[in-house]
Amino acid sequence: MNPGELICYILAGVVVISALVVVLTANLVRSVFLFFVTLFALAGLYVFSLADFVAVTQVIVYVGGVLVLMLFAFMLSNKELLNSLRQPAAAKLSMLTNIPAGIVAAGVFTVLAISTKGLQLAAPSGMSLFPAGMLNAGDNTIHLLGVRLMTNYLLPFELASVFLLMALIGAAHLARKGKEST
Amino acid sequence: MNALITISVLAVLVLYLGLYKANKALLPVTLLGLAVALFFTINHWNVFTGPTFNDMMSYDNFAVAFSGITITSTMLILLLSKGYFEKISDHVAEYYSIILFSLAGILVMVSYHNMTMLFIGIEIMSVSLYILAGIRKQDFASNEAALKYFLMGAFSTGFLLFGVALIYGAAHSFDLEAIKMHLETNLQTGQAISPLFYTGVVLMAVGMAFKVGAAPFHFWTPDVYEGSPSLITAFMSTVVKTAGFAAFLRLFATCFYPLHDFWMPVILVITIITLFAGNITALYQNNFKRMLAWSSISHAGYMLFAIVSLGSEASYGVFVYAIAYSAASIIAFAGLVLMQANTGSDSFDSFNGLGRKNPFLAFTLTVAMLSLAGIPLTAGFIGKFIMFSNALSSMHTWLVVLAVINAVISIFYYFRVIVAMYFKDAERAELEIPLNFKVVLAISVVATILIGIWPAFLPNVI
Repeated sequence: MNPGELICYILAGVVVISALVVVLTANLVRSVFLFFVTLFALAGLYVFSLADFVAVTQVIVYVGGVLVLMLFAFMLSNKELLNSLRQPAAAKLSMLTNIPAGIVAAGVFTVLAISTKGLQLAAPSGMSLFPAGMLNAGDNTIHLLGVRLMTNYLLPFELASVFLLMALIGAAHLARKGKEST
Repeated sequence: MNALITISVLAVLVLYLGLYKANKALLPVTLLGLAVALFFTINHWNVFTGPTFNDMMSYDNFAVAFSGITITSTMLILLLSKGYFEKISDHVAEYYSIILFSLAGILVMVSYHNMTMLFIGIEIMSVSLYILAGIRKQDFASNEAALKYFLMGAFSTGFLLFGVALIYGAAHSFDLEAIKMHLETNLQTGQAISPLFYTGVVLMAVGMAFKVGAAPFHFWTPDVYEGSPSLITAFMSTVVKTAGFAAFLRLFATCFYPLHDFWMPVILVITIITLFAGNITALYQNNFKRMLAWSSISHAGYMLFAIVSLGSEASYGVFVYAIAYSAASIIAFAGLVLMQANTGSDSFDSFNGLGRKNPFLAFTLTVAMLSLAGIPLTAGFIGKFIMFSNALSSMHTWLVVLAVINAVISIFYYFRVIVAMYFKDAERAELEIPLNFKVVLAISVVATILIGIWPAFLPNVI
């Protein structure tokens, strides 16, 4: 195992463990701070998948934007509201209600486990993981992405702007103070 | 493509009209724009040469047919909206604009040729619906519907996206044709198909089943349909459902077809659960709107027949079924809107004695219920007939037996409305039916009966 692989596995481990803790912690503020760790480690994994541009946007958008927004939401909301969000301790005792969810989760996990078991990441006979003509470690991916977005993927790119415009109108409408609510 | 551009620009234009307080012009301009879009769509018929825009979209006859249905249904629903949104708030332009954006997403959904387009189309459509479900800001049920729909929808989008990612990992392409080629060459040369692909197919099936409201992924449907404003519910249960099935069918009938031995049992089980869950629960509803929500789940089950028994007639089957179901649902929801506006109630009892006071409305509602139940001489019967004969020709005899049992169950709850209207007496005032409602009801009834009596009237356009 070369050092690169080792770092990759360590990052993957950090992602999985911190994500688990995020879900399992009862305290919301703590889970948001741990979410930082998850997203950073995920950005590291993107670098190992030769997607450095995605890694950078991951850090800028998610770590820099979304998480800070979440923290602001915490700071601006009052304490009682946060306290009421915490689950009562009694809920954990009634494991009976968790059984169906547990079965579904176990089922999904089994499917994933079976499918990865058959998967050979070291690609078979002469086929690399990245087929010919796709990507090399030294490629300038930002350049490639830009060219693709303005050529092959121009239509989805433009439609994404339609999507954003619609979301903006909707959000503005929902957030607007109505006459009746003042 | 022209239709897509027309509708997107129209949405912005409507916003401008709202800005300049031209509220009277909103509806005519919207309808006119949609008529232009419909014209552009029909113009595409039979001129398909191949996918366009770097293989992103394919405007084949399938796309033309389903764009045509969805645009027409939207026009009918918007005709009903005269004076409806004004009761909710003064900012009517936004509602029209968001509905139009949603329709733009739907046009992308029915004509995609690339997974990225499918995803963007579905997202444009669903996010508009999350907003539309919650436009009654003061109404608790509406807020609940919007939040529930948003959370469930975001979750199902996650499934869909994960499926797309896994399939890309296996086939190295988002293009439907390339993915199909990948499957075919692998199957012919005996190479194993990556397990990632199988997982991706299942995840995408889950995501699509969520979007069309098929059991066991239907739990959001009743609450969202009941909580949303009735006209929005009409939009969701006709236009959106048709689009969902068109996207579902295009994906599974063309792209994943070589693997159909693998996913057929999965869809088969989903179909059977959907039929029973929808019909049996609909029996116990006392509220007309909630009954329609559950019945729309059961109709999703019938439409899934087309995907189970893919044949040459599958697209035609969904086409006819979607027209029949949309026409009947629009009548039912028009009746519901009138009833809510006049009596403020939507229980079955509020329909008592309607047959004597409002013979026209009662007659149209009767035709709609008969069509939804699949009684001969209505469009619903023809839709079910094509679906069932398709299933029989692909040897799914048991499925058809179960479906017929379900059709019989559904007669019971649809007839409750008819019984209430004609055989139960109640002191009631005559409902006032505005002209636009009369027009929509008449168009839908004529379509329902015409297709029921003379199915060849609808040419096999696909």
